[in-house]
Amino acid sequence: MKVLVYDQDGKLVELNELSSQTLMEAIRDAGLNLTGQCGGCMSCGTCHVYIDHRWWTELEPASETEDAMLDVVEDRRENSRLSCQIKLTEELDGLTVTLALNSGFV
Amino acid sequence: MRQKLLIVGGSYAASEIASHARECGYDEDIIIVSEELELPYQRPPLSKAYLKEHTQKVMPLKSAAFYSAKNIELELGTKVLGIERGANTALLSNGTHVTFDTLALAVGARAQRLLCTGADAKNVYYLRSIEDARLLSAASAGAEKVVVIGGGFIGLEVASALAQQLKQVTVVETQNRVLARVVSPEIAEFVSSAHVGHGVKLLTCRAVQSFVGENGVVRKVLLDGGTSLDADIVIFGIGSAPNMELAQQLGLHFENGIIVDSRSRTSRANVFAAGDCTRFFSPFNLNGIPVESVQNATDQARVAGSVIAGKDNVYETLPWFWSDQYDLKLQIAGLAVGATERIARPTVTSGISVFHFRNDACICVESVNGPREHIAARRLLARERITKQQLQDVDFDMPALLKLRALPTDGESVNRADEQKTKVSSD
Repeated sequence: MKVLVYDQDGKLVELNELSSQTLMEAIRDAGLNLTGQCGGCMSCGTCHVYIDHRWWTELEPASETEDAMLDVVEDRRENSRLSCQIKLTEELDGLTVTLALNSGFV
Repeated sequence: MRQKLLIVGGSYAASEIASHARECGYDEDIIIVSEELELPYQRPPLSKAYLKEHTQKVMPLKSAAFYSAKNIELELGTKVLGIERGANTALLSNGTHVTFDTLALAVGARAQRLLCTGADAKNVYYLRSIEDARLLSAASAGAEKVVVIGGGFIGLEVASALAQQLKQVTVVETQNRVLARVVSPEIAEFVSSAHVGHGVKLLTCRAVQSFVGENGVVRKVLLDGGTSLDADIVIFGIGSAPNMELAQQLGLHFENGIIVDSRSRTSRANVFAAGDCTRFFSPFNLNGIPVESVQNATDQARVAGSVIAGKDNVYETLPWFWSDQYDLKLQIAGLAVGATERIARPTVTSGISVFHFRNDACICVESVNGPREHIAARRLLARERITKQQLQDVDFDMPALLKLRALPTDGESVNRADEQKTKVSSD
C-alpha cells in the first residue's frame, strides 16, 4: 500500500512498502517533519494532519480525546486529524494527507 | 579527512541528536553506540501497553531504513568501556576503538536500587528498558499478589496496568502521599482515588525493611511497623540516577547529572550531552532540577544536534509530561518548583486542573482529564507571561484565554471564541 503526503512546503512525498501501524509512524519513518512526540497516546497534538476530502469518510471517526486535542491545536480545520490515531489498513491504500504547519518541531 | 561524531546512548536523545544534526546539514560521519540490542524505541508503552496487553512488539522511534538513508551508523549491543581523554578515542566492548572529533553523551539514567536483605531476589523487577518490560510482563502473567515499591509515575503506572488485570496490588510509599515529588496534593488525591477504586492498596509513610523468601525468591515484604505483605512479584519504582561513569572519566562537571548549558555543551569543548543524564538551568527551570522526560530528551537533543551542525540554537522549551493510568490522563505543562501559590479547578471533562503561580505568574498547570486545558496551557506558558489576574478574568479557562490571545482581530475567530465560551459555561 502507499500513502501520499504533502509536506509543509507543499511537496508531495509518496510513502511505499509501509511497515508502520499508524500514519504517524509512517510519516516519521519517512523522515518528514512531524513531531509525534508522545508516541501516539494523544498527549501532545504534534502529529496533526489534514485528510484529503476524498478519504475523510473512509476513516473511523475521531474519539472524544482526539477531538479535545484537535480543539486546541493551531489551525484546526474540518478535515483535521491526529495521524497517530489513523491505523494503516489495506482499505486506506492511496490515502492522501497534508502535514499541518504546527505538526513539526518549532 | 572526515570528522566523526560519536553518540553514546540508545534512546530518544541519541536518536534525535543524530537525526537533527543531519537535518541541520552536518555532513561528517555519525555513529551511535548503544548497549541495547534494539533500535532506539518508544519507552512510555513499557509501563502501560506492555504490561496490559503483554505485547512484545518494539516500537522504534525511527526505522532502520531511516538511519541508513541518513548515513547514521548504529553499533547496537555495544558498550563504551572507556574514553581516552587526550586522544579522543573510545574503547568499545566489541574490541574496536572509535576516534571522534565530537562526542555526545546521551547515556540516560538507571533505575535506583534498594540495598536491603533479599532485594537481589529473582522475582524482584525494575522497569527501564524493553528487556526489563519483557521480564516483568512474563512474570506478572502468572502472579497474583504484586507489591510495588514506590508511588511515583513508574510505580503507579505499573500498579494501574496490573490492577486492571485483576492482580492484588499493594503500593508502598515512604512519603505521606503518592507522587509527592512530582505533582500537587490535589492531583495526587485524584489519582489515589482511582487506584483505590480499582482495588489497589496504597500504603503511605511506610518503608520496606526486608524481604523474606527462600531459594532466592521473595515471598513476603516486611515493612517498618511490622506489616508483612505476601508477594508473588515485587517491582521497584523508586527513581533513577544518571549514568555518570563516562562523564567522570572525561572529567566533566557533574552534580546529580552532567551540567550542560543552554546549547547542550558540557564543561569540555567537544563534548555535548542531552536527556536524562543532564542537568541544566533555563527560564522554565530556574532551579535546575533534573528533568527526565521524553520531551526533554527530544528537545534538548535537537539543540545539541543543531549546535553540533554549526547552527546556533538554545534550549528554552517549556517542559511537559504525561502519565496514563486507568482512564486518567495526567498531563503537566511547566515545572511547579518554586511556586508560591496554587489554585485547583475542576475541568469540563470531569477532571481537575491545578494552576501554580510564582510571584503572580503562572508557571505550571497540572491536569487530570483536561487535554484542552493542558494543550492550551502549554501553548500559552511557552510564549508569554500569564498572570493570575488574566486567568481570573476568564474564570481559569485556559482554552478560552488561548483563543482570546491567538485570534484578537479575526471576525470569524472571535465568533468561535464566543461559541467556545458559551459551550463551556453551559456544561
